[in-house]
Amino acid sequence: MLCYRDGDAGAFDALYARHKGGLYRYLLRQCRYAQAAEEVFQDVWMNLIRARAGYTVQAKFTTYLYRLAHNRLIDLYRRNAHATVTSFEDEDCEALAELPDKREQPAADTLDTKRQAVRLLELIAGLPEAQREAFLLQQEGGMSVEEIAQATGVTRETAKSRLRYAMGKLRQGMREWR
Amino acid sequence: MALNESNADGAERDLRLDRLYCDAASEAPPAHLDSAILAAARREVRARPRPVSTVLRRWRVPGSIAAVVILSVSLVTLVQKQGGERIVQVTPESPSARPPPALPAQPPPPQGEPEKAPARTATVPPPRIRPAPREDAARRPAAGILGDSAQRDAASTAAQGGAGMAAAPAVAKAQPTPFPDAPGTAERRAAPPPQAAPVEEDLAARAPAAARRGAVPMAAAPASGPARAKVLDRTREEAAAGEEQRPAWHDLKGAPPQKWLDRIGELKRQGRPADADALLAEFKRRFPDHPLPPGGEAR
Repeated sequence: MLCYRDGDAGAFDALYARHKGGLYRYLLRQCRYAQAAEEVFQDVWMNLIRARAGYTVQAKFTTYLYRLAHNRLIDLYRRNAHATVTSFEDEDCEALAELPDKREQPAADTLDTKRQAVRLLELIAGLPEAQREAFLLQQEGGMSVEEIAQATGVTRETAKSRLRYAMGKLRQGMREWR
Repeated sequence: MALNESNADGAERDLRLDRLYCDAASEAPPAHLDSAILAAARREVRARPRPVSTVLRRWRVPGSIAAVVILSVSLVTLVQKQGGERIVQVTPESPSARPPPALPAQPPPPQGEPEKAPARTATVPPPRIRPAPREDAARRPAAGILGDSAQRDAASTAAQGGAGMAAAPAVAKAQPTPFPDAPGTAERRAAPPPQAAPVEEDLAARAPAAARRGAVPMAAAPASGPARAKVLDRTREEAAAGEEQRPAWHDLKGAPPQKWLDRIGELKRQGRPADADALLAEFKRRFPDHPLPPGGEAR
């Protein structure tokens, strides 16, 4: 990003190629709709381009990028009165009981890896927003708990708790294939 | 199987979930978004100038300050070199502004000698300001060399009745009162002044007369160019009509002291105490050891 700030257009190409997939998937899972995700995705990168002259290194670029995306998502939720925004406050495990339990389904050996992946995506989509965000930041951004907390604007303990709940729910949902 | 792990920062990781997610998550942004974003990034780089590097940014302020200081010092030095002499010459009653002891009438110098101009202006005798109507316009080109601020300063000082305002070119309302100490221009050019160095008595004698006049002659002529020629022409004209401007002691040069005393007494009897005082001051300057007759000053 520093190279791009100093006028190296090729540096942005490399930066974009490295982060575009993860950011897009993060937004796609959070927005649920591809069109909204694409809009936010483009907005985030445009904001980054416009702010290049004043860019200073204050954190990892990944943290900076996902922080921009997080803020843009919050704006989108507020604008659209997203129904699940309240789930950012929902940190308990009560939602876990609402997850579909697949343990009673047929044996796991009949399901291939692809079906397991589809199942995992369904479980991720069923997570509360904050927990899903923490999980996606860990998976797509490769971020640590500290960086997740920094990107989402919460304390480290909160981020850690969200991540633990998300992992617990996903593990429980995928138990049948273990 | 032990799939659960914990990172160094305490974050739980499930390797199986990670692998499953990597297999499942393969979405990518559409190509049109990629091209639009990359094009915008290149446009932004082309549109804006390259930011100043940190080295230049660090030295920008000190460099600016150094440039300002160097420029100021150079300017002051240049002004002192080029304008300092002229300013000193037009300083009232400065020794450099007084005419040299013996100076015959000289033709106007050629135009192409600017470096000699200041010295020559010092040798030009102060043209007697006559009660000509509104000489400002005529003198303005000559006075312009000194600058407007110098004119204002000189005029203000002259208005205060300063005795030494021989360099005030803007003084136009000179009154034709006799000035005992100011000889005619031609005479001053032809004959040396009594003494080259300024004398305290001389200044003291001139001060009241100058204050009464409210104006003083212009001692410092312009340095060069048509203005100087104009002043010199005016000087010649004034020299031709300078009989009335000769000092009271003009015809006493070489006369014995007694004749001087007689003339002083005669002036007092004619009701010209200022001229008598001026003549007495000149007498004291020329004959400092000569005893004055009892009550001579009142004679």
